[in-house]
Amino acid sequence: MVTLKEAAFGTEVKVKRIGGEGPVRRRLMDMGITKGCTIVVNKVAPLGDPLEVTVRGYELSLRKSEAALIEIE
Amino acid sequence: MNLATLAVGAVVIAVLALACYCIYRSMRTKSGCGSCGGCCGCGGRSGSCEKKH
Amino acid sequence: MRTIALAGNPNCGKTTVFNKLTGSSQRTGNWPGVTIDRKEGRIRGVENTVLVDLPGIYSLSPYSPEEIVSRDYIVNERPDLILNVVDASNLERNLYLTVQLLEMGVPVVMILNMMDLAAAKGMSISAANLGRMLGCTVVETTASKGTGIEDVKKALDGAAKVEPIHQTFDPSVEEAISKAMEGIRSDLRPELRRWAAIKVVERDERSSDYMKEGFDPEPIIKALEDEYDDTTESIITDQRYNSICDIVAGSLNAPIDRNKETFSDKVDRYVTNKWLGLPIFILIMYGVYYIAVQTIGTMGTDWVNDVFFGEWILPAASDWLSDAGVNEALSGFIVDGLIGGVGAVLGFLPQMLVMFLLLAILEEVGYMSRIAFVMDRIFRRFGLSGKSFIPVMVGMGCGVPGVMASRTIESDRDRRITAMTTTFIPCSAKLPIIALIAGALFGGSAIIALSSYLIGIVCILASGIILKKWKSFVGEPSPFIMELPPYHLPSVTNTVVSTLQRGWAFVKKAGTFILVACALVWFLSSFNWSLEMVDANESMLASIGSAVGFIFAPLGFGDWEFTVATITGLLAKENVVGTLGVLFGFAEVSEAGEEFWTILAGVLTPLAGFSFLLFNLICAPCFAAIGAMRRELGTWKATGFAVAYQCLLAYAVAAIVYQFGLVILYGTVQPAIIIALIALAVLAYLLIAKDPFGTMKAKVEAVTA
Repeated sequence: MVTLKEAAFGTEVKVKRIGGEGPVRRRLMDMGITKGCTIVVNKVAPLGDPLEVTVRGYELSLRKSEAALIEIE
Repeated sequence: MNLATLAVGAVVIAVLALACYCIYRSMRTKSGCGSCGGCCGCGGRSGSCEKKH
Repeated sequence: MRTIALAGNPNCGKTTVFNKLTGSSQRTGNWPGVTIDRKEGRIRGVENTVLVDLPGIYSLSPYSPEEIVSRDYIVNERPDLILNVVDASNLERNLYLTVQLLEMGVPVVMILNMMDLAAAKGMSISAANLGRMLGCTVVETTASKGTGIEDVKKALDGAAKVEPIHQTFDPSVEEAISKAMEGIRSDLRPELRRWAAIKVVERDERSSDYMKEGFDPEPIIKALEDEYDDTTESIITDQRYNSICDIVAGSLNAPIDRNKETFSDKVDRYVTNKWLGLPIFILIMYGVYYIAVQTIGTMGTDWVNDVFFGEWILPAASDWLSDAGVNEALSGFIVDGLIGGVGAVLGFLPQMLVMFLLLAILEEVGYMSRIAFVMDRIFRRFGLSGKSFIPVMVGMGCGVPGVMASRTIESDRDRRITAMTTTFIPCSAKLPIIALIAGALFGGSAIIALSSYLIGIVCILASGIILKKWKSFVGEPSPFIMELPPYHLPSVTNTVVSTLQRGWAFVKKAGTFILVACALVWFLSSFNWSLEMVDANESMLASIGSAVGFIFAPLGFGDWEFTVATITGLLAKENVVGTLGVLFGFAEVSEAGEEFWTILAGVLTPLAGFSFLLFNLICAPCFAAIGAMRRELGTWKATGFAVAYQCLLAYAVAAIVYQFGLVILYGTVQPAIIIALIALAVLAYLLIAKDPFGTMKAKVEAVTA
């Protein structure tokens, strides 16, 4: 299972499934991360976490532990 | 106790009374900014300020 | 009376829209049961209309208090209209809330805001198409510039006549929704039934509120989940976004170039850069203090102290009073007490103004979310989240909104710890204390100011570790998922207005809180218990201060004047300076400012001064901030705990700094070094031990059993 956490910087990836449960999962989806949408991982913060990604045309930051819940193709 | 002292004394008491009243008034406002008398400096972003930005 | 609700994502410019529409008629109140402010105002130029500002939300799911409050408001209080502010440069995600609002049976008018940003991104949107596909009126605005606001007011009347278009889901989902509608309570308004049915199908946390007794939606939901092999929550969210994509595609005159690098991207390349991010942050903070405290600000302060007060006001006042033959005691009261005390504080106004200006620029620009992003990793090592850093930044202006800004943190534990530790960061009221110590004892060095700030951060981080181990703080760490909104070039008007507002508020505070405090201090320090006029050292205040002062002797400032100054700081932190000004004769000689500082330097060594500074920065904040903590923490018991913690930590830090400083700098070892050693041991224990509080509690129980 490949997740967003392992995605290479700068490449476009497609979301396959969103794991996790409860508020975190809801939050991810509300912010636009849904099955089939494309995400680009732009960079990582100076200390190694969190990540900065572009989704649906805007920039979102999320922790690696949260990115690990997002399964990609 | 001459006239000057009386007059100046009265002014001082009035000023202090006004100051106390202002303090009392600002303590009663609900939002944070009013109560501290200082300004919130949130730039309108924290959504918790009564002041117009 | 028409009620209109204002809803939209965070960062979409909703506050600006609200301000432009309501002007000064805004009032702030409370949403019942939650610590979120409720803002209302009359719309200028439109009769009989009240605008209610709902908190910024990304959706209407009931997981955060903001969402619950907004949702309940719309469902229960039924506004006549919803004004949905949408960030045009971020259309897809913003529309996610829009389509949910449209389902709720209330007419919606969309304010398509930030058109300037959208244009800069190369987006050309057809508002007409957008409105047609959604079934609502769309008004284009750039609220920051004021364009489109009048059009919004005009659109309010015709809004009810536009029919919202219900987004249709896939056939199987629609079927499930129809079946669910049969199970909806009959007393629910007809226009909400479909919305409620969707909530039921989604397994919304509160869907049972809308269902008939005994209705079991499980079979309907299960069938759908089996068919799609996914949760209904996902199914519905996915389909919502799919139709949004279609709507957006149909509203854009030309497709967006996703790869275009915006100004924000360019700046971020450095600011959030792996290697440069943190140093840049420290450099910026140093720069702020350097300009405010060490250079430009100081020039202003020196002038105010030496010229304005020293050569103009003080001599003029004392000459006038003695010429008029006013009683000597009263003259003394006015000159030494009132003018002297307030003057000592107002002297710092130039430095404060510069500080306010620089902070306003940082806020306007949008640097704050970047900082949270950069600091998250560090903060998490200490049990907090990067989001805890925003209250810290806000707290640099005033601790009250800083404490209140902890509301944006979802996790209860993090929120409470943040509320308790935000005041470790020097607020603008503490700046005069820093400036005084730095100026009188360290030659105006900005390093002192910066170190106060950094020590504040260290205290916050250390507290994160320690407090995390206190049982009542156990909880889920908060998700960090956070939007990084684009940078704005600071608007000159906003920045200047904000600076002047804060400066004026500072002056007002001086004229009220500080004036009264100084009056009291002068009175108590000029008379003894028999109400005879005496020298300060024999006064009532001296006896009170000396009685308590021994507590602070190990910290290097056991003289009663400093004890008293610290206590007056509880009313307003500026009072520390004001009180010292009264007691050490700010008004004494004509070259007032310099003399006061010199006198201070004669009484306090730099090390003791630094210890005094640290104590005052870390210990309990002013009453107003304590009040804010009470509001966030909920009980006086919790607030009392917080204040006690702050004071103990302050004592420990000051003791350690002073005692070990004595050893390192002068080779002197005082008996009181034992206190510092104990403090160090306790802190180390709390930081390192796995469950210090549990062990201590067990030991106490064993002893008392």
